[in-house]
Amino acid sequence: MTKILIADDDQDIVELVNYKLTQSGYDVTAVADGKAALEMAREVHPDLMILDVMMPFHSGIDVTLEARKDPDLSKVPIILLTAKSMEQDTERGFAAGATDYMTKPFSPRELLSRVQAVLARDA
Amino acid sequence: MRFALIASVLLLSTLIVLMLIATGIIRLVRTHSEIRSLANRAQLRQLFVKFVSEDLDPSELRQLKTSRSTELGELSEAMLSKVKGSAKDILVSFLESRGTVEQAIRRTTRSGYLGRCRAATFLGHVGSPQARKPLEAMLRDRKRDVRITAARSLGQLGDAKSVPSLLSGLDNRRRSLPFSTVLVALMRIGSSAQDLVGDGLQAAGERQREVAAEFLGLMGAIKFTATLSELLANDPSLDVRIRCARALGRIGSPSAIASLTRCIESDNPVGLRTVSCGALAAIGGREVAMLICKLIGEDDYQISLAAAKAVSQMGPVGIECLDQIASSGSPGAPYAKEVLARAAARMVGKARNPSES
Repeated sequence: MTKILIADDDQDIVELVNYKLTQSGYDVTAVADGKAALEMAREVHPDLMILDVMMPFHSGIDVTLEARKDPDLSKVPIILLTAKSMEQDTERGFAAGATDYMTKPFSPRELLSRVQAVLARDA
Repeated sequence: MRFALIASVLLLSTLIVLMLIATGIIRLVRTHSEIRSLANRAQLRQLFVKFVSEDLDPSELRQLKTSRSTELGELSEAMLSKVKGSAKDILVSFLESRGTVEQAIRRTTRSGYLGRCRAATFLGHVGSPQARKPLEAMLRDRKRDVRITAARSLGQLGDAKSVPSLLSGLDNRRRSLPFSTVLVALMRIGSSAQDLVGDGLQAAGERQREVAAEFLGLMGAIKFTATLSELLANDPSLDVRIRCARALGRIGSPSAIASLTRCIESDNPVGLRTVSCGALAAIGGREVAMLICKLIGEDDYQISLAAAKAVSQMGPVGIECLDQIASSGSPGAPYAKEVLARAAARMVGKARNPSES
């Protein structure tokens, strides 16, 4: 089963994404901050990570940079999900090594399509 | 006497003990109700998540639709700002069926200003067309926070009909709107606002003309190049002329080169000359680069530096011009060298740390 790790401090969003992905057959693990995201990623070795940019302890961009340095996680695709929509934020996300970028408010259906597209590209 | 004293001490102690017990009970009840509210919210959230994903069975849907709990109202309003697409459409129709939109419209005229702000925010998230007029009325609210929130919500609504109200809010002396708030709201409305904002270039109010120029530049509205060039040459306000110069640079049409070139001449104010240098550089081309290069080495260091910086952003053409000046030994050589060194340092920094770019 494809494993997906979600990291977001907004419980409403975590539940919504978790439900949508679980219903689509993915094995989802959710955490609420950047530090826990890194620890959990090293433990479960997800096939994809969905990270909020503004999180406690480590931002989604920090987690992306750390993941890219880690040999076990360097190839894991990362989708950043954030309220920041400025062009520079998108550039920073991609420069850090993110695979894709979505801004909040987001469409759960669109997120699912992007997850499927990223995983298909990676397969 | 001693008996009265003992009695009063006992009475006081009893009162204190009773007060402590009462405080404890109140705290216990409050904690219990908070826990119950959190549990309710968690349970409702699960239902809600299934609801916006269109996965509820009929009995669950009935349970949700008939629920009148305050947690449900809070949850649906919170969710509204986080989702879009079909999930948002489901939420909006749910809220409309509960009469929440009409309630929010009524709250826009209530006395508490925080309530009015909340109502405006909510109406912006819902995006219902019937909210436009109440929100426009709120642009004249006596509280600044309410006016700002209403302007933001009108931006979210995205109806170009609200452009005149947003623009006139800038020049209302007693109840004005901040420049940036109006600009962001117009940007959110987007290209459909262009024609009505274009009319704002002829407005009597200076701030309206300023925001209109800024918006049209950011939108790259090429059909307004002639009008902006006209204002750049003749507007009585220097601030408006500077905004027009910047807008023309952003639009990037070569037809603005002549009017911008007149603005870099020495009889113009320094602020206008420096911005016009940047605008000309943004339009680009070898001839423009040569034109700006003539300013490098002027007595006014601000002009020399602005011209050098502008040329450095013109790509290979600009770098070539700067190299020539740097090696010429002319008065402009130190400026050209400084800007070339900065450009080189920036490139090294980018190569070392791409995420900082």
